[in-house]
Amino acid sequence: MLRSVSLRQASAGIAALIVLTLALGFGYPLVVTGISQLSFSHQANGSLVYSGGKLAGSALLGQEFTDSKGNPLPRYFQPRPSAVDYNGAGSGASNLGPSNPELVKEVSERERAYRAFNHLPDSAEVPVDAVTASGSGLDPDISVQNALDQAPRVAAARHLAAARVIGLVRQYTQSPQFGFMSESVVNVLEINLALDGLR
Amino acid sequence: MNITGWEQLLFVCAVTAILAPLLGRYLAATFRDTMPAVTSSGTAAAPAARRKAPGDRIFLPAERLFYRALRVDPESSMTWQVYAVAVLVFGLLSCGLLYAVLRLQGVLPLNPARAPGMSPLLAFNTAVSFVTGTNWQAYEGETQASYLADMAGLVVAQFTASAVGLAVALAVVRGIAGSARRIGNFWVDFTRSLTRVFIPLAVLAALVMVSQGVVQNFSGFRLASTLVGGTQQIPGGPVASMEAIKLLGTNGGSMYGAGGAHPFENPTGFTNLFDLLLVIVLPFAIIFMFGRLIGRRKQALAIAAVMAAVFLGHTVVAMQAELHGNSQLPATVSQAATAQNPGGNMEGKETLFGPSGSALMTVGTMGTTAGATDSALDSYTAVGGTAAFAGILLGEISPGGDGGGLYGILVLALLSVFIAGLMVGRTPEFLGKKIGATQMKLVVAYVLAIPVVVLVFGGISLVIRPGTSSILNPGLHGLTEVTYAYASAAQNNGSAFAGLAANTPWYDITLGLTMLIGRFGPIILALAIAGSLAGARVHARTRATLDTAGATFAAFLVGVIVIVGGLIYFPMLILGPVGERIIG
Repeated sequence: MLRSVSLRQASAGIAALIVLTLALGFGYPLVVTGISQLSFSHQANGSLVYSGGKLAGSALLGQEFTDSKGNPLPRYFQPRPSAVDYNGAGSGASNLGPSNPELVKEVSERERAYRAFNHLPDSAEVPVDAVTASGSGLDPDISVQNALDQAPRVAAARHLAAARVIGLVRQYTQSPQFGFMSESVVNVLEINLALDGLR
Repeated sequence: MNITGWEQLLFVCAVTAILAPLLGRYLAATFRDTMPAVTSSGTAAAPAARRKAPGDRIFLPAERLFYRALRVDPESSMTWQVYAVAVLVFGLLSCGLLYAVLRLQGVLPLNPARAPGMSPLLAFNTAVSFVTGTNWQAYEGETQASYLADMAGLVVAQFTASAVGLAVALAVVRGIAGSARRIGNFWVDFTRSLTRVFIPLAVLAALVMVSQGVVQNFSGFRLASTLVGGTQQIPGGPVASMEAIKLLGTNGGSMYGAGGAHPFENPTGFTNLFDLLLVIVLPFAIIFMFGRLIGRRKQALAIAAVMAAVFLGHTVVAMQAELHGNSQLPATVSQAATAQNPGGNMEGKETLFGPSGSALMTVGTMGTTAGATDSALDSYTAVGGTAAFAGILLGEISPGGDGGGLYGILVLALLSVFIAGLMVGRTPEFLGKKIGATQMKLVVAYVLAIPVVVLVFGGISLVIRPGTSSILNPGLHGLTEVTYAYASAAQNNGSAFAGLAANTPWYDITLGLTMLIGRFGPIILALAIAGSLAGARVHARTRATLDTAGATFAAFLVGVIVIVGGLIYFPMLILGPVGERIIG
């Protein structure tokens, strides 16, 4: 009895899997891809950003602004620390627990480096996003405070008036989507592209 | 004080409150004709006439073709045993097919990252993980799974797992409330769930996501030349189509390692909230469907209120904790929220979502089998991590998985009716049916099955080398990484304290077994309970009948949920996050 029931259900199951693999495994993603490529091709392809005709990155992915030795370049806004060094071949977080001494050590070191790099006094508070790694390791954004703290350094490295770079930060501040759905942020790649475009 | 997170929470609650009853009405209309005579206000109703369901003209022809291909008779109804066999056999076959795809992906097409075939143990773990709706990912999304494995293997399993969940819930409702001996036809429930619920909603959700910036292409990795003259790999893939059913089907498995934290999966503040809504609206809608199908909408409202209360409990605690920040960090790191700085505990979180938005989305899905995250749980504060853990340990009924949430809370309601009956000295009854020794034995087995697996495997892992060597973080936090993994696997949640190196033989095997027991154990027991009640006499409601749709019973049910979840796992929580909070 059990055997014949199982066999009957198994034959139905095999047929179901064949049909569903074709319909859901191929039909469904292809239909979605087709409509997406026709209606939202910019987004569907990764919100790519071109500079001088060459692919320069994605507006949604952070990237590094360092010299060949890995030192941050003062003339660019710097993104947050990353657990995957902004390599899009992977993604992920540090996964360090809140009580892990290693996390506290790393944050303290980053804090010191951030102050030195941006010529901030020892008493200055450092925005938390500047010294913590994101969940994806590809965070394209920094907080407005983080951008404002970096602005004088960027201006000095580019021989620009600080007010001009601060103005740029204001211009490139994305306010919360629909007023409340996100935090106010500055997209690092976009503002750095704008900096390079300044005459 | 930053109020962004609270505005977001309010928005999520409002949208759910509006959409879930509407969707529940649609679901009830869709499945109404498969309900045998159901009890209505205590008396048996006339057998439901064959009524038209919405969309019959579009869906029926395709469904009829599908039934013919399967050679099943859609008019026939199954006993609970046959229904269970159908679910088990289909699960076994699905595991086998997915295992083969994952093993062979290296030689199959659509593999731009040149992912090699998975090792036998990893393929076993992953196949089980997706077929059970857990979506625990011991592999690295970008490099260890091909596009083909993602779309034709994992996504198919995500669809079928969610449809199986809804089907079982329908069968359980027929047994518990109906007056027929048989509990429906698995293939009809399964097929309609796909054609009329999951497929149309997934297509719609995927397109909304793409419009926001979720990628959907087949380009593989593109090489960009960065501004400073370096290079960057830009990933691609059919991401939105997977993301849609990942969330809608309360699955949780992503194409990319970082999951919902990855900007290509969750690019805007809108998608962050949309993702959470995709997860929670349907399980709530299924509760409202239940109320309509049994003709007791007040009962559904009481259950939905219980779920909402538990949901708000763990979510609000986590939001507040993450907003408050990590007290271990130096005081000169500015964690106070201002208009220019979201502040809070930002380790493992995206700037765009901030601490409270991240906690809302991540911990909001912890009371479901999705366990979808937009931030790294391992780096949450002890309190925030406990809240996430609690969502899982309370049995995932806030609001639970698609279908699983309903049959999960119905079992807990039976337990509550029994305890309440003992307290006031009345024969326990639920929906007019007497709850006897047979049902209570099954209920207790259901309630104990998952804790036993979690505590046994978790306990062993903490004392043997293959278990402890995978731990990343020192101290009590490391203990939580292990216990969380088993709880997440057993409840088919799939989220992780991801510091744990999970792709080892010990964890691949034991977590795989845990997921199997955690999925099919409760399904068989829930169907058995339904079978034992199917066709039982329905007693008229009298003044002596315990009202299971009122506020008193709802509060009592919350109490039972907290006591059952809290007491069983109490030592584990004390040794884990609670201790971490006290010591730290």
